[in-house]
Amino acid sequence: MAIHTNLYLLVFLPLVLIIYQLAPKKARWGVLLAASYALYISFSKYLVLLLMATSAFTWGIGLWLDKIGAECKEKQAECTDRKQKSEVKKEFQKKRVLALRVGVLVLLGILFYVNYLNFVIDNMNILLGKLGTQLPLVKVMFPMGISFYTLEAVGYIADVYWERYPAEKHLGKLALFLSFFPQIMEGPIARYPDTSDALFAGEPLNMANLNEGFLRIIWGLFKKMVVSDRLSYLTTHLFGNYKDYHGSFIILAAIAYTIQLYLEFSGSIDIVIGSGKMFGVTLPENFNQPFSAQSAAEFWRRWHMSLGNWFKNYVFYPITVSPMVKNWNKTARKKYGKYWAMVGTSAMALFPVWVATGIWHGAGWKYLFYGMYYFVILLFGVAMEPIKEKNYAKMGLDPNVWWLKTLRILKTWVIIFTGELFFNAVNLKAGFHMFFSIFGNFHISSIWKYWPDAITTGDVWAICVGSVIVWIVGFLKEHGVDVRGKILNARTPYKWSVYYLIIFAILLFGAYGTGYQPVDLIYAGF
Amino acid sequence: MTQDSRKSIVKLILFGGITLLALVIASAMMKPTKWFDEKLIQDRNARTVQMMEQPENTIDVLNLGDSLSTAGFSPMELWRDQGYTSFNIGADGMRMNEAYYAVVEACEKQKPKYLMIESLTLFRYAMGQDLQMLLSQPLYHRFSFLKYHNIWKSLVEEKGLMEYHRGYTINQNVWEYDGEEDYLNLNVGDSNSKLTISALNSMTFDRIKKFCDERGIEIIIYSMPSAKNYNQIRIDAMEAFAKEKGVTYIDLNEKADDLGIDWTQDTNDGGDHMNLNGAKKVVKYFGNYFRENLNLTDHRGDPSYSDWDEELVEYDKLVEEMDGKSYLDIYTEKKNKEWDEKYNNKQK
Repeated sequence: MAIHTNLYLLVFLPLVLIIYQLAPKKARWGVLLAASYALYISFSKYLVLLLMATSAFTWGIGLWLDKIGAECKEKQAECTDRKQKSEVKKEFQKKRVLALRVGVLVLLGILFYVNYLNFVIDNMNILLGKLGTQLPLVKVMFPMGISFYTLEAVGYIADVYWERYPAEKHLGKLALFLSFFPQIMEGPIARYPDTSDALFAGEPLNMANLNEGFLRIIWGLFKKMVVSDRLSYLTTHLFGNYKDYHGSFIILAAIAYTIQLYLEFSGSIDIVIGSGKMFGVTLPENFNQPFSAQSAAEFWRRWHMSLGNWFKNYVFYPITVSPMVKNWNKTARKKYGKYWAMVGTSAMALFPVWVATGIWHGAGWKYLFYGMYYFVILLFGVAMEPIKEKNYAKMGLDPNVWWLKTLRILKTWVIIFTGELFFNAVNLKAGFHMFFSIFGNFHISSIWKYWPDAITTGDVWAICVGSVIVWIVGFLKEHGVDVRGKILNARTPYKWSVYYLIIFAILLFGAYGTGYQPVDLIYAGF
Repeated sequence: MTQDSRKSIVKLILFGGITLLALVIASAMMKPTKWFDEKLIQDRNARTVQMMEQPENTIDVLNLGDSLSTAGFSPMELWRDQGYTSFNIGADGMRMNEAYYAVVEACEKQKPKYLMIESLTLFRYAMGQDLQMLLSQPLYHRFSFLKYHNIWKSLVEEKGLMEYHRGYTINQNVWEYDGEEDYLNLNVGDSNSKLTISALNSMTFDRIKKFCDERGIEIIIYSMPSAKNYNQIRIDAMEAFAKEKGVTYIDLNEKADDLGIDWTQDTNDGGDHMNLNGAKKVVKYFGNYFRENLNLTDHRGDPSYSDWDEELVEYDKLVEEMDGKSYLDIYTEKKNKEWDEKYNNKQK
């Protein structure tokens, strides 16, 4: 029961809302937990046990870290001088590091086993094949949302280790944080303090939250059903039959897939955030007009923000402040100068982030390439920044002049489209085949001549009009006009008119009905 | 309960009520034939819409199922051979829940005597999708706005090329089946199509049967010849199912030789679906079976059925014109011709 299906939207969500409201305040978090496990069971069946075990394990590690911390403080209180205190701290720090390592390794180990082991075996078999031997593949069931809840669990353990907040004593409450039903399939990846208070508060439903949540959900459905799902017929056809197309069709495939992915993922996140909001839970935002970005780095600050923040907090920063990088920076400054030290430090911190970002999306060389593609582009951006600034100053150019901004946005689009071309290609080889075939036999007119039957004129109209509407709303938001806020603050007749307009636009122009193959959530597969 | 809560509940009910009312009004307006030429509807609803346009109580046999049923049974051939009136109300990949409502809608203006169900539909099952349909199909049935919402596409798209003849589309493509001759021993089935009949499909069949029993409609289950979809396991399962439900079951796979099915000539996609050659043989078999075993009237010569004779002339003309091609071939040719004309004119 995915979050965009009628079963979720018309039955499950309303039912949970009613039960939640009828339940006593103290039991409401329990209703949410039961609903979360029920939804999880509906698509991953007994693998819910793995989710439960992960929750219990994470909870246990948190308590262990807390206990070590408490014992350390007790021992320190008995100490008479600073030196003794420092030695006690060192002794307990070792235990804390051990607890952290056990926690992170077990969680990432499960993720590795489920997501990556067969990929590794597959690649080892290519080498072993030459020696005439093969390793058997492992039969693995994919637990829905494992990439999302694992990162939340690792983040929680790291934060408790860094004493950003105390460990949660209540197992059920931590289990709810890791399994909250709207976000289990596609995120956003939250940090414990982001949602924990609201999840456990058990506040009654109120009209303001219901209105906000409802508007967010129907807006998400509009993006997904009117535009994204229609585009998926085109992209599935073009990427699936990539050898039959070249030139302008490949560019069209890359652009179409990027729009599809954005509207599908941001639309689903709208449904997720809207569902959470109905219960008074404010989930972190995941998108902020990514196509207004003027550089690849800015794009990643606006696209899948919760994943980017996770890597920034738990990979990038820890590496940047690690003794190894600090030492290297110090030495490099003396040896090669400030500029090269900065480039080298950036490379050392960015490399693991982008390897991880790439493979987080899936076990495949194309995903690793996708990560490395952005690593190279971002590092190039870092290296070029001082040179760019100097050049602007030399030429007397204002970097914020509109045409330069537009050029930078267009350049970023080219980077994004190219990245998504590889991301959605059947495999890395197909990605290169598609990329190089852009430059062969390029005729814009072939789009009209060989337009695939997978998508009709009506679909194209719906996609274009729907995309323009989404773009206008995003454009206004980028320029400080909060359309959603204005609708929510309007008088009821106006507000309801907008609701009906969106609902009937979905019902009339949405890709649904018998015969339509429901389009699965793309990020639910990661 | 506070005054605010009461106000909120009233607002929620009012909002729901207006939505429902708007849907009812929109559905009343969205009768396909009210605003649009019925031939403009080219999606899976085309057959249902055209069925609704048939003169009242003129169809004796309904043929239900997925694409195996619609590709392998031509009502015009049955009319030519025996003078019995029939209509294909199936659709590609039809599931049992959709099938139930297809029967209900077909019987709004008709009192058929027999309902033929092609058995592959009974094997089609994927829990998630079928549970979704359990909720959506009644909604589509009650609110035609939802069912025919795609009708707006007819305004911006060119008129459809496909011609339906009482639910049959002519396909003369020949693509031989080159697999094993004894295909009943091969493996078939996938994630959407099982080897057994699910409890949900069995329950839906019971609903169809109850509906038919109340109207005196007799059900006949049959399996279309299809090397890609049938094997002995499925045929045995269907035989047991039909026995359990007390309905007649006819398997045409075991009778394929008697029917004279030539797998090099009678299939349009390598043994999956029948083409017109195959459909003629299937209809010939059923024509004889109906004449010998069922109580059907030969309507040929009856002036109130003259539209069938007129359509048969059109049907035969189209078969000749298509000259062994499929609609897709004709569509591609048409598109290329249009483009060449446009491109050559521009160059001039």
